[in-house]
Amino acid sequence: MASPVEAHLVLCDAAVSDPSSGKVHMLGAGWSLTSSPTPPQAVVVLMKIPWDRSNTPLPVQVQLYDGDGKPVEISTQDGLVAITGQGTVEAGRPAGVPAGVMLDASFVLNVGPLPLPPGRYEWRLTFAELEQCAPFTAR
Amino acid sequence: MADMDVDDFFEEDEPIEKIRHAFDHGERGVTAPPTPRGQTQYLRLPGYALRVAENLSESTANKLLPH
Repeated sequence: MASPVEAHLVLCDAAVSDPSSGKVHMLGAGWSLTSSPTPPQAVVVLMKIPWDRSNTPLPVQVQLYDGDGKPVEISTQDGLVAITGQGTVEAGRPAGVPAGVMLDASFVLNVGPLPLPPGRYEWRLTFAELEQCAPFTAR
Repeated sequence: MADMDVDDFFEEDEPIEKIRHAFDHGERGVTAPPTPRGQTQYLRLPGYALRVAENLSESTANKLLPH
């Protein structure tokens, strides 16, 4: 049986992930209350991948849901668009690292201003078999 | 496996014979480097930046707003 993955969700104003190390440079992290329409924001996923699940592609997705648990969709020129980002994370095994350690990886989704009406929202993370959410309120 | 030496490095769970066979025959797409450990994405909403900017209030306040 594969070891469980770990992850932490952090909301911030902006973020950039370092491709080589997995470290994340964040600005304005730790908020859960914002204005409406929402200013630019970023969703940061800090992941810990078990040694026995390295060199294996693991799907990661973050998506915005409203207070009723429905996916938020924005009307654009191309029709309704869900506020989501997804990718695949595959941690390699660095030479010399002891077997059994957790390997770091990260995923960042930067989002521009959104016309969200006041209310409660949450970013939901799906990473391998793990599900987490980071709620926030727009007022 | 017999002709491996100390300079070769394989993980225990790698299909070594398959990889070596593919290497010897010049096959492509058998292996690939892992994805970057950190990924940064930017959500793009076509034609939306200006529409949001039009709806933003330009009023000022003497209090710091949240966020």
